[in-house]
Amino acid sequence: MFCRQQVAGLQAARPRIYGMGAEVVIVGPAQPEHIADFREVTGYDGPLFVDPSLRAFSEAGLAHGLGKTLHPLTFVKGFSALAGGFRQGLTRGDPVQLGGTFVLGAGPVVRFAWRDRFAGDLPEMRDVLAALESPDV
Amino acid sequence: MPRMDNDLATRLAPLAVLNGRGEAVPLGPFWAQQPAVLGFVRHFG
Repeated sequence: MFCRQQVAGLQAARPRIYGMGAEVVIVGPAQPEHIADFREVTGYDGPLFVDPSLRAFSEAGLAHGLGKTLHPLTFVKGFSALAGGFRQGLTRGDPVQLGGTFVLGAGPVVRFAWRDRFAGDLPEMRDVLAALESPDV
Repeated sequence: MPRMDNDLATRLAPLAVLNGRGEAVPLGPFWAQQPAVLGFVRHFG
């Protein structure tokens, strides 16, 4: 459900992101055979990959574990996501891997780094877009 | 931003992820010449 919400936000922002000359790349902790179905349910047609080894997730410093996944605010965020029309489908991938959002480049530049603190803890898209609008750092 | 993020783009660049055919695709080229928003999602569900 939160993954669909995150992808929907990025999908909606893609025209603005592309307009700023940037790319959108999504990575999930699932298997290659799960990509087609996820595209279908989300409608996302941009670069979409999986990292079943979780190596990139780990290198990005993203939290992993049940204790880090569930939080009282997860349920608040869950109700909000449900109210927004997002539904939970069959879980494909590591259910206790948390996500994150980064704005990188061009080159070895980190413009924005967000690591979910619990399930449903997504960044504000305006902050992501602001990072793209800022001069190279 | 934590100090560990200073070289995050460099550390992630050589890592490869898999496409729908199971082929390895390096991440770095996505932000080598242009910025990129890299979203890690929790799972596909």
